[in-house]
Amino acid sequence: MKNIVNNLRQQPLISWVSIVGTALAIFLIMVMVMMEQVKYAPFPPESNRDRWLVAQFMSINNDNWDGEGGSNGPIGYRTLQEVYYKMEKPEAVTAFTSQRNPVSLKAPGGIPVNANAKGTDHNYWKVMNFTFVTGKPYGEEEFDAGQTVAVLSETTARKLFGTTDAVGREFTLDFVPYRVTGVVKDVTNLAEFSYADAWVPYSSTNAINDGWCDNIMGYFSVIMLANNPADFKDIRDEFNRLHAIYFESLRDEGWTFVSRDRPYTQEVVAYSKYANVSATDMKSIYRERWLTYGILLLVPAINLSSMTHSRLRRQREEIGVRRAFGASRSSILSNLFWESFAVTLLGGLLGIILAVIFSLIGGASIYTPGWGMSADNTFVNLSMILHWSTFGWALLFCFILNLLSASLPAWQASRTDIVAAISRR
Amino acid sequence: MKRKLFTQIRSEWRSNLWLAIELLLVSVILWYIGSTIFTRLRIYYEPLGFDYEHVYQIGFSTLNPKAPEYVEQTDEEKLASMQRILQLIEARPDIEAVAMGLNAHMYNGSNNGVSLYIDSLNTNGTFLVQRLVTPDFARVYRYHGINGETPEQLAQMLKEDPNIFFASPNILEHRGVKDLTPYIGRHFENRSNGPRDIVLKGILVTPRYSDFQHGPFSHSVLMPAQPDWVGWMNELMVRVKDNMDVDFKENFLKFADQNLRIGNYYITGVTADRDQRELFNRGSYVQMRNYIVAMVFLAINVFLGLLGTFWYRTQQRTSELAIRSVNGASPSQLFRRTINEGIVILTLITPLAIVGDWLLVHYFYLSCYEGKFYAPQFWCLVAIVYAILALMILLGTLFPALRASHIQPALALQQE
Repeated sequence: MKNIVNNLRQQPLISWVSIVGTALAIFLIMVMVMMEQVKYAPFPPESNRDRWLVAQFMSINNDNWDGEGGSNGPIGYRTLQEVYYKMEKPEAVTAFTSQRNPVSLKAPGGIPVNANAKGTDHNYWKVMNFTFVTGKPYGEEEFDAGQTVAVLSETTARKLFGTTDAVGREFTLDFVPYRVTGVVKDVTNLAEFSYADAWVPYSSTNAINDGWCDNIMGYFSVIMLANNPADFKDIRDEFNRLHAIYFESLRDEGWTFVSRDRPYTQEVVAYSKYANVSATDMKSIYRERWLTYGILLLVPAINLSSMTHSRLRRQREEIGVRRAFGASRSSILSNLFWESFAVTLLGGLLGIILAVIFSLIGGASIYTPGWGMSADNTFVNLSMILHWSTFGWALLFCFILNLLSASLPAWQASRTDIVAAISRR
Repeated sequence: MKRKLFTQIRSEWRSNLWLAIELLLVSVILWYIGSTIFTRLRIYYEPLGFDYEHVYQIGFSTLNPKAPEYVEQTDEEKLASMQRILQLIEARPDIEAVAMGLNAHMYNGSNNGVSLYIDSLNTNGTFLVQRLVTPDFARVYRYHGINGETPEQLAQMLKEDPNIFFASPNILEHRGVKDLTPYIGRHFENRSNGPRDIVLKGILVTPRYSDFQHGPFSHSVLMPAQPDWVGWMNELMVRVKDNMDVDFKENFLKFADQNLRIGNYYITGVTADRDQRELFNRGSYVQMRNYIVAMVFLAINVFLGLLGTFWYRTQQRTSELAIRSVNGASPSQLFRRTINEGIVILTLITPLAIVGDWLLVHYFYLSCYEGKFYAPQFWCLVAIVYAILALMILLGTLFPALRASHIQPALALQQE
């Protein structure tokens, strides 16, 4: 450590250039990692993303349709009943309205408030992990009865009633009277499946009857919560078996099921946004991602390598003396590598701190919500961008950067001829 | 002097090799990024084929049976309610045109497809967007025909005959039909929503699907909805007269609150197509931003690399620079010599970078944007990248070069 500090002090400008170069590379890569992780890593209220299998859309065809037709989009209520709510393998299955649904809310004597509403079933509250400020979610009984009850976000409750203490209070949602059962902390629209300003039982809305293609297609997306990711195969098998039975019963009407290998994990869903095409090839996503990381690491690595090479030339005499006193080549190599790694870590730490600050301040201008959602409700907090894996990635990138930049110069330096080095030849 | 400069570069070959590799890599990547940005901007500024300014989407919905004001209605009553709403909107002095559509409005990611057949040809094999709309859709978005048909003429033709359609010129291009004109007036078989037997009445100036997609990607047809379909169409859009949309949203919502609660219908909101366009294009804007960030990052790296390397180099060459100074080299000569070293390396790697750029064009770029590559951009971007890197070299070596030019010979040699 003493050696490292001395080296840094001897060449303050170069030390800064090295640290800033490293920090810049790690900063940019970590912002990219965080942008990716926000799409699929768990954070409240979507804390169980790693145990999700998602059927955001479904696809069907009909023998009577000519050409290359087909219907692709959200799922109908009939399908929910015949397939999803019959599933036994998942820990829980929840269905909720898929599309952004702008509504007008109005408290008695108040002014109308524009909001996004989401229709859900009662299992939604088991699959998601909302933080209730007051009250509680609606349950099975209220859902089955199609009661007009609602959960509001903190901001919406304040806009409507001037307070979050709104349990039991009444308002109208598109002219229908509703009663508040609970108020939850605001949700960022980066959490696509949980974001809304108001949540209501979908049984209290028109969504049940407003489907098309005989209500096979409709307005719903479904999340199947597995006990463990290891259960995904069993859930998929059950999913396919129930769909086969369902569409067998629809054969006379000509309906056929187009699987497109659904359901998907959250990571695949995040990159597969079109209902009419199969899942995005994740290998190509990974390839592109690692190519970008590679370029972002390689260019600063060449820089740092060049500087390390120059720095070690200045240390030739010192290395020669160490070798003369019995230090082996491998110990010299190891020392130089880890010394360099310590400096890289310092830069990396600075980079990750910058990435976090930048993310928290930049918010909506860096992190973009799903298609069609405005940036007004986009915000980022620490639980979304910092995971143990985030630090793991940062450490890995620092190691790779150091491996690329320090290995060759350190190896060359360790092979220094003792006599030539000491005599400064 | 120049020969000595090359000798100097050769003597530092190991360090300069790193520098050359970095400059080569960055040069090719910068060229690629620049070329992608250039191509996208070029597409972005091509004519859109429609006019989204002053267009607004009017959101509407129907009351839930749980609403106290809900009324039971027959299909005829529902249709009459919607027709009344359309009449009231059309009668507003600030409205130029009103239309309804089925998954048809521009900047809409959710569309209906259509299959059309004629002779042995069909439109399958490419996604053909079906815009099933009321006739004034052509006026709302100011569509034009390739033979100079105005939006009003297109709307009039759609009103007069519900069994016609207009198409973008490319609907059979993938079947080898480059010119659709001979098909005007011919009967097509429509195997999707709408009339089965339908006549191609004219060809549209291609309405592009998005600002970042090339015209030929945007295959679409404009088909008239039957008058009684407005009871189940899901989009309502208006064109506001030019310069009359100040506070349009607020004014319209007040008007809707007082006048447009008809039957079970109510107005849920108003969205300007201009805002919708921003949302639709956001992914592409973000991608462009990321490209620019990557360019800046790479340029900064070149700057830092040069600064670090030449800082060391100046230190190592203190005695050499001092001797040069003693032998009559002026500070400006020492300064130029340090700067020139980086520029010479950049110039030496540039032919290799051009080969790299050319390989990118042939093995990667030509597969994008339908193989269209704008040749003049190649050399322009080579020059721009060279200039950016030269600037970075200048900035990166400026500090070390200034230091070199101010060396005190006696002091430096004494220290040596």
